[in-house]
Amino acid sequence: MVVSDEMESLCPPTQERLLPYTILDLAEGGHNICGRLLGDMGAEVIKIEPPGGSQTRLRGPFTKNSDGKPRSLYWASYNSNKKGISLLLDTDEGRQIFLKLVNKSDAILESFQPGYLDSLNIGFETLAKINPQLVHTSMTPFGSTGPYAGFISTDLITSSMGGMPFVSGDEDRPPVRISFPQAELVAGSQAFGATVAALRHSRNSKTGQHVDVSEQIAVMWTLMNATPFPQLHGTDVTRAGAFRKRGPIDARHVFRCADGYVSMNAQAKTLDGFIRWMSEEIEIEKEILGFNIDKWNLKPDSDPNGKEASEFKKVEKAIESFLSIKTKMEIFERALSAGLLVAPCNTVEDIRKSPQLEARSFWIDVYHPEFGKDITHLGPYMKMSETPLKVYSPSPSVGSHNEEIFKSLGIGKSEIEALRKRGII
Amino acid sequence: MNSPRLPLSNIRIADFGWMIAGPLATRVFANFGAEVIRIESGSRIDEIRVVGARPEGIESPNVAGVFNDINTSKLSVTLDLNTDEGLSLAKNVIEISDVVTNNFRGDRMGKWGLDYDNLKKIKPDIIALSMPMMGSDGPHQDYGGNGINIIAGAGISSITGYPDKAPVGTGSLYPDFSGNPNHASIALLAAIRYRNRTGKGQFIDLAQYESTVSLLGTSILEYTANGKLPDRPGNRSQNMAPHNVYRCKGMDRWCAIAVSTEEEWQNLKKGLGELEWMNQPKFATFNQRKANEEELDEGISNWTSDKDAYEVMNLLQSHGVPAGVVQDTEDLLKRDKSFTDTHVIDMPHPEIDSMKVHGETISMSGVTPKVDRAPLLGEHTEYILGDLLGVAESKIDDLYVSGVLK
Repeated sequence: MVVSDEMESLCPPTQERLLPYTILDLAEGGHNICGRLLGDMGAEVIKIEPPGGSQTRLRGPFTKNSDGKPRSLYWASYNSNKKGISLLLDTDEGRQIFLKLVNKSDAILESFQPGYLDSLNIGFETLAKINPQLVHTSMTPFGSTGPYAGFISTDLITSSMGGMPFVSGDEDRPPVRISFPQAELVAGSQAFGATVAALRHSRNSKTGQHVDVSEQIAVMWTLMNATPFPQLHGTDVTRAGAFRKRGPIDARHVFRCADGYVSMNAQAKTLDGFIRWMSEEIEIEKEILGFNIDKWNLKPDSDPNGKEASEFKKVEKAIESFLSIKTKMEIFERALSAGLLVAPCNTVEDIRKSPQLEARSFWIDVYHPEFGKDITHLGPYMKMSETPLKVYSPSPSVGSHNEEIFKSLGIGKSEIEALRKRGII
Repeated sequence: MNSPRLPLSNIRIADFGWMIAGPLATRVFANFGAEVIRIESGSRIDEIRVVGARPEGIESPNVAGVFNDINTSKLSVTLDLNTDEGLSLAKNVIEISDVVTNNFRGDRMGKWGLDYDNLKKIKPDIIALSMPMMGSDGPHQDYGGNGINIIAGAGISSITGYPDKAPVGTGSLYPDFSGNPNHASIALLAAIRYRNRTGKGQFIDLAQYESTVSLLGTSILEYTANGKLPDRPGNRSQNMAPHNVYRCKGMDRWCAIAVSTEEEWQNLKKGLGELEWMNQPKFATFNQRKANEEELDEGISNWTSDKDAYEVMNLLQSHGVPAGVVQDTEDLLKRDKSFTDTHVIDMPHPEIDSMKVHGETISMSGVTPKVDRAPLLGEHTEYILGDLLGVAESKIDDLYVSGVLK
């Protein structure tokens, strides 16, 4: 356990930071991941919330704090490594303070409806006049322009428009999305990359710019294995559930096992490995033993009921019944030792208990003052030898850094108190 | 071949990546001006040059759809790394590079003497990125899987689909095209920035498994904090109802509708033309709609099923209801103008008419990325050996003959 005061002091000095930038973060929901990633890499990220608190604090799941009040884990996980201030943007006074902050910052991140900041007269054009090197990153469901820019959306809507559910799920059921919302997160992580590239460009050319990130396009990118099909084969990739298209046939990739499911990539070496494993433990038919692995990868125009296809199906059936009495762990251990492309369909519990993640110290317990207890965080998704990513500080409470930040703008204590009384901060 | 005015020009990457996630991590660099050199070999062809969607009847390692999409703007040199001269030429490329990337499992790079410790001897401030599925240490480090296995292993399958059906995961190779290459590009950008400031390179170990687990976000926190395991809820949501895809007119056509607030529910009723059944008390509040969700979905389906999906979307959006068509790839490529105009490029190709590839995902007001065709196998061998490494022309001919440049 690390206490938050100590964590502040763990934050590396500027010279050793990966990204020595100051970022203003007005984003909501999953777009918060963009600022979180920048914070993980040592940028000073200032989260700006309205005085009543960000909408994201209302997003579940929740856990009870030490007083029994529900607090958002969603907020906590995507807002670590940020400082928090409160500021009412739809007042003149609030905007004046915001513009002072913009003047001292390298980038702003936001996910308002296109046109909203313009309507407050603090859109990109205005900000660029104050700080010509500013990078202004917008994250929106459909981008800032085009016929859908004004649409209202949720993860299900944006994912659907991006094409992902159409190819996901069972053949005999409606299209389905990944149940933990992904569109905002994928857009947020792309926004991170674009923001860093734009910051680099800004340093080199002394000009900032508007970076316009669309969730729909971010989602479409996740389909790159499907998008070449209409042009090259005149067909669409459709939902195939536990199967995937292999030439003219559907090859099973999800198999039931004794305690769950496993997912297999039916390529030559893996099929061969399964035949070998079966032959070590059970009697198998000669025809399966003699299956010509080199011919398994059938051409799209070959006969789906032909000899090779039916031989393949026979091998598949044998594997199916062989795996049905093995456990996920037995199958995974064989995959490890024999180099087979098969993995258990792990549950969240399996993942939490993974010896690999344990050995690589993936989980981090962070003390959150707002919760009054430790929260187990997912660790950094990469290890960097020279500049390891860390959780330096827990997610802020509303306005927890008001004094520090406003003082740095030359706003005195009594003035801060006055602003607070008027509900500006 | 660097483009001087793009933000990532003056960076050179020696790219040992293969299949999808590795090469995709460096694509953004190539399109924004970096010189990305694919180090590959005809003696062990990158499988992605061959598999997946490809024009029928052409036997060539240059025309596969996914390959062309994920390797835009890169260069290709063919070197047989299992020959001394081939390996030594690869080291010469590394010597003039800023970054070395790979996504092999286990210690493949080490077997060539190209692990980080040895790379540092070739170029002290080198930035090395490794993307093995399970990471470079730990008890499972030698497990090698690809996109399909990562979807299952990292838990995406377990929360996707229906509770009474198998965990089928996504039809796309989701982690290969999203989190993993994104996270890798991010790390590289940051490491380059850091090196420019401090003169220090570093080793980046990106376990694709961990990187994909991070996309499960609070599904995991809910378990670690509250002990609650997520299920496969289909398209249902804990805090929205209706929240599903609804069958529309035509073959396999659907429109998604997601109602989160009371106002949106009232708007939905107006959009559907004030249907009698929607005013029943059992749909009056969110809790009641959630409790009677099956019946609610059926009622909405009855209304949508004889209507065009785009008409449903536009009508509901005009009433202030979040709605969107479940688009297929054909819609994305042809019908959806917001994409095709700006994000799909019809790339000329010397072996076929043309190949549709994605543009860059991000638009920046001050910079236009330069998206060029993916390289033919070994297309730039002479440029890289001759112009970059200064190998004499006659020597290059010898190397061809002896099979080093295969």
